[in-house]
Amino acid sequence: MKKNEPNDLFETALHSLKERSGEVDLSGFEHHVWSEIAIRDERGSWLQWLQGGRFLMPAPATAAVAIAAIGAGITLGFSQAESYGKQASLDLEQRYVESIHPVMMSANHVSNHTEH
Amino acid sequence: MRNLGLTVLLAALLGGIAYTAIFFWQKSRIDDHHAHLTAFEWFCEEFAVTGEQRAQIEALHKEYFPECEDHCVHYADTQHTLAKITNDPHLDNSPEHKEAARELTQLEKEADKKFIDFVYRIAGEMDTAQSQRYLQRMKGWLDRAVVAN
Repeated sequence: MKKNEPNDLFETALHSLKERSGEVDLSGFEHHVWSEIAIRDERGSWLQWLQGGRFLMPAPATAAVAIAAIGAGITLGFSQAESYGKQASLDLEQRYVESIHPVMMSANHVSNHTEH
Repeated sequence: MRNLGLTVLLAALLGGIAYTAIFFWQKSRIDDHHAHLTAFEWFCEEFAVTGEQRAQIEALHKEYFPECEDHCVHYADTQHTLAKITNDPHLDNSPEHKEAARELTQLEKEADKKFIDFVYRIAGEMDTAQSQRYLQRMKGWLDRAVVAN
């Protein structure tokens, strides 16, 4: 009794291909070309788009896009940090007002006691 | 020559890195600056109060603080009493209930008056431009408090 007896269609097909492998006679170069084609076909479409798309950009344009993106990132970073700073300053302003307005001071004490 | 997709991806990555680096650098600077800042120090910094002016204004704050705190305690006690009365169905609409509510409203009015008097005293010690800005900002808080009540 043979080992690894094929038990489904896939196994049967694989077994058959292995038996026929001696019949395919490709030269080293052809074998290499077909291997490359097989690898390229298996790559995802998004990767194909990234690596082999039709729209090619010259190097200066690529550099300009990268610089613009960095510039936009820096501008947005400063702008968001400014908003954060304004909010932090407003929190301190609220603390200041709570220290000089009796009712707001009382509300602050109550909320602190509730939190603890 | 570079592929468009790769360029877009690279640009987005570089933009994201630049944004994250700048935002967290600035945030950490702001947090460090504000971490040990008291409310009074914030006031001095915000309204450019320095030197002798700062000493005079600090003295006014110190003088006012016990009065403000007494009023705060009185207000909190009255609020507590009113809450107890409100929760007691036998005292609903009783003279005690009406008296506590009237006292609370009176204390709120007095608190606003104390606050206004105090900010005007403080503004009197400041430079004209800064005092106008200070009064404007404090008025904003008072308006918000009125709306909230």
